Amino acid sequence: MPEQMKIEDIARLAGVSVSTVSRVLNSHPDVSSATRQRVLEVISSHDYIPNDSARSLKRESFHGVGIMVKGIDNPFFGKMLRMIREELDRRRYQILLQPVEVEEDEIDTALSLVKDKKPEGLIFLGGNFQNSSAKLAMLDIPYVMATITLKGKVDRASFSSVAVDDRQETYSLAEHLISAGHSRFAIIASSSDDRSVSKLRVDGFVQALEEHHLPPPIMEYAGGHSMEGGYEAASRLSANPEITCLFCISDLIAIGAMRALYDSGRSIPGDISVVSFDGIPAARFSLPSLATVVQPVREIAIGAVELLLDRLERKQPNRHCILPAEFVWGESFQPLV
Amino acid sequence: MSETGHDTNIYDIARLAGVSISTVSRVLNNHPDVSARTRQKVQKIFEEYSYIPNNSARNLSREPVNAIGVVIKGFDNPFFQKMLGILQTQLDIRQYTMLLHPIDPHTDEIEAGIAFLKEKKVRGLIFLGAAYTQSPIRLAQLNVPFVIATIALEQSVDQNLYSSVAIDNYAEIYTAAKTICNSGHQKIAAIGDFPGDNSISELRIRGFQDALSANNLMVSRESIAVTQEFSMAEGYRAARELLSKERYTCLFCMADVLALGAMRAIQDMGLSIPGDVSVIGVDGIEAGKFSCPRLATVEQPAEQFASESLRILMDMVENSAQNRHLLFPTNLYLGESFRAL
Repeated sequence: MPEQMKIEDIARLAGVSVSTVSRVLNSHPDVSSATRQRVLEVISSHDYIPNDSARSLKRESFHGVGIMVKGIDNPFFGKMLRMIREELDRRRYQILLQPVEVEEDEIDTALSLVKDKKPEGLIFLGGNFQNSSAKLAMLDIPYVMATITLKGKVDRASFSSVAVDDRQETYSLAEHLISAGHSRFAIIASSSDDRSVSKLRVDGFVQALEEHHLPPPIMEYAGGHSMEGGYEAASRLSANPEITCLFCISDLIAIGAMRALYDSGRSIPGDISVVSFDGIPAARFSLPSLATVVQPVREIAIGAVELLLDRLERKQPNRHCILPAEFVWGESFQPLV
Repeated sequence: MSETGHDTNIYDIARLAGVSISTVSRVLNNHPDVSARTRQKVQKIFEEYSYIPNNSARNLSREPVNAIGVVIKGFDNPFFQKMLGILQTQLDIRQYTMLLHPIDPHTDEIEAGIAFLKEKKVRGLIFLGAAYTQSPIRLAQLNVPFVIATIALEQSVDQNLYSSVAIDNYAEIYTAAKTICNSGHQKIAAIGDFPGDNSISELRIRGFQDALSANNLMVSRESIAVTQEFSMAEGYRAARELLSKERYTCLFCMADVLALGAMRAIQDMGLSIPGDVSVIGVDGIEAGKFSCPRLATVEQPAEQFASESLRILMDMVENSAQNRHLLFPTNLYLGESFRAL
């Protein structure tokens, strides 16, 4: 068997340094295209298989992190995923991105991922985790919940989490709106059987109304987080002239709802104010811009990685971080006093 | 090669590292209760002896055989996100796992695909987004069937080397731009990504330029605002830049997200859409359907892109079919953001 080509041989044949070859192999940007081409030609004409790939075999079982994303087409997660990826990349962890369908059970998917791929840890982006305490206990690797905090029956010592306090944030939001003179509210939630962030956001909001002895909000459901669902739900609401303020539990729903209100001839915020939650880019650029509770995407992303590495590398115990969100006043809202 | 001439096994590793077999096993299984020092010592021996644990050999064989990789160029592009949603549903039905590999818009997707194949065992690849020039050598290094979605490679690339599902980016934008010219617009500007980088955006901008020239309209360098990526923020910035220098009557944006940002900029400058400025995008994403005003756009068939790329790929993966190429027509939707002059 001929002696195997080494990276030094490739460098010599291509007339470049070893580090240049390495940069080409790792798709590093700062190599001129001519050099890249030359190195690649040497690589392919000598059937060079970088050691890298042998190393990566081990890396896969040693340093992989699985990321479970509920709703891969949700723009809120798009930005967060990019940051998580950059952060894990920087620390030389490999990523296994696992989309979870809306109706799928994220823990089942996680359990089979753990079995098949042996990731070292997991990060959950979104999910509802209903009736799941028993199954969660079967997850025997460190995991972090990002954007959601589980309370109640689950054993909070067995995982870490980083999120905003959805309930508290919408409670404060409602207080703001009430002190700005609004008294007749409608809410568009995700779905009536949602036990996840949608429910928390509704609960916090409703609690504030109750404490101020205001009538309960008119409830509508978008059947998920989509502009289309928001449009349809708001169309059903728009016949009601009493409502002065509409709270949508996510920006996607709110953008669809604003269009429905516009189509039914109601002006925003003249006739009705619209407020929501998340802070996706489209909220800033929409006409009118959306008043929304902006989640600290970057801090959640970096926090999730940090918490996971605390467990994996520093053997720290699980922790639960609550981050503050920020209400950003947009053109879709006006005070009544 | 191990010192003894046979494949190094777990007993050898334990002996060489001076630890028990169960410690080696704990290291292999990422068990928490091994000290960092011991772990390092054991792993060093692994590397020295190129030890591939039986365990991980077993892992490999246990990996789901039916996985498809998806390399996505520009992960937060809503158009790709929409396609991803459809791909995922259809792969689920076929009982395939989808492995996602998002890459930065400036990364070479084929190289990323080659690297991905070394690490992950997949039966086929779908590229969402790619440059239109590719080296045949590199394409040949992708050793599973693959489909390039949303762009066709230039004609000099042998069509037997790859499959594609796309619109004719140059011709479709040429036609749309011609329609705009015919509707009386004379001061038309374009917003899009880095011309000269062999991207989809470059093809579209060329179609735009040629249509204007064919209509005897001047296309100056100033009338093309170059963006760094397809994002609302970049569209916003580019539109402000264009309109602060010249009163264009129509902005043709090479992606809907750019157009949505541009619409906001126009409004912020105290101009009306489409009264003062018409705006048109490319893609047909959901946000454009619900924006006020509704966005005029060159609609690409996202669902057909997704299901046809998967059908072509599966045909190759499961039935050893040949590479195929599909071109779809677009639909020019002249929504509320556009008016004829």
